[in-house]
Amino acid sequence: MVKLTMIARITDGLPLAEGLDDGRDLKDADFYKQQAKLLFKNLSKGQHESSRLSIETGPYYFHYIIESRVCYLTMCDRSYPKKLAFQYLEDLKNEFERVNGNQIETAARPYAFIKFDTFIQKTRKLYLDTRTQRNLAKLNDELYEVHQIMTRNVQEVLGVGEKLDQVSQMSSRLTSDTRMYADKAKDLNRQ
Amino acid sequence: MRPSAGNERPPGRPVSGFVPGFAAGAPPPAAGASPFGAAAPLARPGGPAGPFAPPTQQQGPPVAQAAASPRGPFGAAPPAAMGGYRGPPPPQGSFGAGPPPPGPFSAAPPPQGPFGMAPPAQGPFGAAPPPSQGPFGATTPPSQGPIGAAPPPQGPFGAVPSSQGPFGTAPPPFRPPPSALLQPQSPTGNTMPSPTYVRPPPVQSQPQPVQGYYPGGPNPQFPPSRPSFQQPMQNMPPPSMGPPSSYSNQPAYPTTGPPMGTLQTLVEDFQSLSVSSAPGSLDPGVDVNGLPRPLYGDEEPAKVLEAFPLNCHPRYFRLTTHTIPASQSLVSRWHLPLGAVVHPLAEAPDGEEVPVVNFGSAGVIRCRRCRTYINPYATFADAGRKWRCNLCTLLNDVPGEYFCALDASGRRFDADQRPELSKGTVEFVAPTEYMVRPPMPPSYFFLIDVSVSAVRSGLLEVVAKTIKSCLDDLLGFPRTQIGFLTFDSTLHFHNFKSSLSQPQMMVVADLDDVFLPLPDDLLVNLVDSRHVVESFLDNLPNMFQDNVNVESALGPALKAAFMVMGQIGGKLLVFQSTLPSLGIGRLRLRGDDVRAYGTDKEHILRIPEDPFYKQMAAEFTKNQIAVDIFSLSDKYCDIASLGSLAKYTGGQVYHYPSFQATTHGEKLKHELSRDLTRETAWESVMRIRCGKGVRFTTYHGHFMLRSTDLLALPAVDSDKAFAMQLSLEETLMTTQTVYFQVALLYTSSSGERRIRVHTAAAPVVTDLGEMYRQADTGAIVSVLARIAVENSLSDKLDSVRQQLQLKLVKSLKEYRNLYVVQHRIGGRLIYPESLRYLPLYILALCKSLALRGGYADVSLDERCAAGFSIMILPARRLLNFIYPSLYRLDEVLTVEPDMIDGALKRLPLTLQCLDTAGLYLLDDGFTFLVWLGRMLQPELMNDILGVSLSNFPDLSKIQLRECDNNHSRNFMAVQRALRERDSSCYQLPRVVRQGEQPREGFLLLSNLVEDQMAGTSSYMDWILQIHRQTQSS
Repeated sequence: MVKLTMIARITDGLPLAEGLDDGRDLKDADFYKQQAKLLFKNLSKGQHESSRLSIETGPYYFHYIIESRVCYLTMCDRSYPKKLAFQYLEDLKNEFERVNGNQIETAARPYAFIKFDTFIQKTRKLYLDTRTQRNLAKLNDELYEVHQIMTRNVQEVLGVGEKLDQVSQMSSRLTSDTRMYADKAKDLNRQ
Repeated sequence: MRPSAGNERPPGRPVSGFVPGFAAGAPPPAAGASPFGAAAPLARPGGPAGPFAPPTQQQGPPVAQAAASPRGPFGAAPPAAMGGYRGPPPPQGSFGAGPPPPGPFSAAPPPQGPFGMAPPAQGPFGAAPPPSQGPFGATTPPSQGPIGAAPPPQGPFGAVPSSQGPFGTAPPPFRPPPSALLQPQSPTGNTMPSPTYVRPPPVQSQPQPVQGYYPGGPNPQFPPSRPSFQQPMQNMPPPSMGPPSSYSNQPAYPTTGPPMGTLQTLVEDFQSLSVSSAPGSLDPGVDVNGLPRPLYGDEEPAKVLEAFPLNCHPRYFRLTTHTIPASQSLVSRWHLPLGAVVHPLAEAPDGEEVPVVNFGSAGVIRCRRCRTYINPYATFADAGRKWRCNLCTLLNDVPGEYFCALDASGRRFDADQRPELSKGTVEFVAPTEYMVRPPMPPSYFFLIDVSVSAVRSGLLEVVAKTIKSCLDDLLGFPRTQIGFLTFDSTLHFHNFKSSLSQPQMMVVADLDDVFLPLPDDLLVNLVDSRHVVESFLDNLPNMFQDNVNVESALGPALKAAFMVMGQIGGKLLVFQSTLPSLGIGRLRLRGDDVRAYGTDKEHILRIPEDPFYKQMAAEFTKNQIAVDIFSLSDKYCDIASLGSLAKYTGGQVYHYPSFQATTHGEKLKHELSRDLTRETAWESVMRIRCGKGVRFTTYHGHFMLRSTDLLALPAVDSDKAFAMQLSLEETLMTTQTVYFQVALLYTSSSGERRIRVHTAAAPVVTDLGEMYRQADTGAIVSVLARIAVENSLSDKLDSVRQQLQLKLVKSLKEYRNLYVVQHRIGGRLIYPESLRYLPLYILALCKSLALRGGYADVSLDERCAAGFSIMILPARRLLNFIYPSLYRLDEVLTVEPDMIDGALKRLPLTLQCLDTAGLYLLDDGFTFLVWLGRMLQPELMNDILGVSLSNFPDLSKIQLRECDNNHSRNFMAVQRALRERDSSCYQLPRVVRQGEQPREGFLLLSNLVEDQMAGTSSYMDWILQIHRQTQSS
């Protein structure tokens, strides 16, 4: 079931809306919220390859979709059907674009569309129980393909930036070391 | 002629006497003027007349003239004359005659005083025309003489209308418009073309505003001291106020940083000084009418804005004295509190909305070290690439996005376009770093007692109806959350799920281990569940109609409420009609024990009995829940304990003793809807930063202190003010100006995170007199009142009152010591003009509900409730609460409805003002008390009451409704007009007839604070008492 829901602009990582009362029964909600924020920050640096992705973190999954430079992200239990999670995000996306579509680029303050939280809250309730008729029908619906959506680990995703940094660091060290080697070789030659 | 002050200084006349601040006025060529710097005198009411009078009389040598002219004004305008000026030395012969011996003050009568000796021609005084002397002449002996000798009323002083006593009176006279001043002078000027410059004795210090109580309004005897003061006047009249230039040269405060304002500013400053420069005398035969009375309510220290135009408006931030003492020793001589009153969300008049600034990607510009927000006093350096923090002087980088070039004077070119660089009050849009969570939705949770007493009093009906009528206006549409929990001996939860058509009630009887019967839908979105909520409110009164349960499980109900709203936070409104009797937090009937009064145990009755409430409050604050307590009991319900919930959560206590829906319904309705609909700042914190050398030490108000200086305020609104005290950290202040910055970080009802920043500057002074001059009575009384209420929680009422009195006495004594030696004002009580109402306010405070009397005078709950109110009231409302407004209405009722507002005149609070044939209304901001004189025309009375008195109606139950006659309509219009002045409270009218005991006693007579009541002094006795104490060493 849905634990957290966040909507952010990926051009600068500005949070636009968040589910109301999220993480009430979650002990370490703050930790995961922090992780989600890091994720947004990474996304805003342009390090995302796909517009739909699932990321595993501890006992949960982050699922997100990116559409017209807005990232809709939710966190669910591992057991929660991926299909429903993405369907939920699609619902949010459609409504969000309908209501706020033209103001997204101009929003200047964080949580500019916090009013959207009531809709998130309502929609979330619809998706709470996977066994309702409505949700079962959605699960059986093959229209929506989620098989291709990749799954990655959160460390991997958050680590991408770190690794790149590491590589560039190593390569720059390599350059400076070679230069030193060349100098030393020259010295040796002179002797 | 009207020589312009500065220019025409006769050559060779040193103006040494000048104190920069005042000097402004002084310089005029007139003799002696300069020394007195004090010049201000002109402003005196009598002023205009005075100047004219003299001209006629004066003749004689030029010197004499000079002297004469000044004096003339004097005579006429006595009050002006008195200033605390020390006379300058008589450089020339003029004075010689009247040697300094008398001291400036003693010099009174021209004939005798020091000056008196002087040939008329010489000293400025000597010159005094005979008529003028009257006033002065009267006084030979400084001490009492004045009175006895008092000249006939017409003396210069006599002119003063008796009603007003010199001081008593109305401010207007004191501050005539500048033009007025100028005119009178011109005549004088003409008479004496070339005033001589007489130098008074050496000026010892700056002019000090000294005021005294004058014995009698009608035939004021002027203390001998007068003469000396007159001098200041003298200078003034002929020269008029100098040209702008002369003034502008003088800094308003010796030490101020910011530039002084315009000429206009100076002139006003000047005038007000004149007011202040009057020493007076107090004689046993004090004229009661002449005592100062604050009939115009609170005076905001608006002149501060003139000296520091970049400061925030005083409605947001007021210092008890708008100066900072430069040394510890000075602090120790300032016996009044040194502190401030902060009203962060004060309502601004239309057109003065607080500008909002969004820094966008640059982030909020703050000092790296002390975290001060950028403000108008910050200075820019290095061609605009750096800015210097005005609080800690650190040089910070200006972010690239915020860069702007500087003009020649070092000011940014865009300063005027940027509110944060040109306004003392701004709001910043807070970026994500200022949020620990998304902005919360405004949420309201109601905890309603439905035990039998609540049902019987009609509480449920009023509450339900009021809430229903406010549903549309609740803050935060469409995110508003709402929920209800009712309780008696059990807890009733209500499910407002939007798919239901009727709310579902679930009863939890387990009080020891409270649990929520439902995970959701106890606190719901108002828009979604509107119909369910409405249906609940419609049914609420009937639902418990037959309830006979007398118990109240408030403690468990609070715990349940905490579980419901802990995640979100918001406002918790508790309606309590009995003493909590079940479960945790049960309270016992401690009652009000007469034997406890006067003993060391007295205060225990006023503090919470059970620590549960304070602990609960701490939990609430942590979760951003503010608690408002509506206590509607007809019996004791331990407000002291319940109130601590509000005290630590930024809430408010409403107390309705003996609540009955029929009589108190209107009041509850109005105040509840105000509480629900006034603009509120949610999940906020407030911090006050100040420059190096000073530090805020204690805070007084409703909040929870998080860390040493961060006030946690789950909710705060325009009705709440905070007070705090300052202390000096260093023995000697090295800066010239100290800056203060109040920052309130909050979430608005629309879900925006904002930072409201108020910035103010105050000069550092080395002179105690200047501190007194800049003192702000409203702020002082606010701070003192809060300290007194807090002290009453740990001490006997009696000693609290004594402490107040002691503070007053010490400060007046200190003030007296400043001047008494030079001025030989032995027999008089002197006080600074800025504090002229302080003695009365302190007296009124001692007689206020919170501190009055002992056991029998006020019920314990009422006393505690008043204490809680005092802790949050802004200065203006506090002053009106302790010194209520009294109006005579029977005449007002006959005027045209649109003239009413102007026709209302405040009267002194004394029985003597009550005419038995009159109809009076007393407004203390919480209640209207309508007093019907015994001889009041019966028709008028019937018109207003709507019933004939011959039916012997029970006046305590009577309700005033608009009847179909002019009197009644006007009467209602008066009430509306008064309520409009302050919409934060609804004053419930209560009617009382003259002689109707005991109601008249505790309703009205106890509010007549100037009268003697059992064990308390009348205003006059009080003044005498204070006077005696200031004299004894």
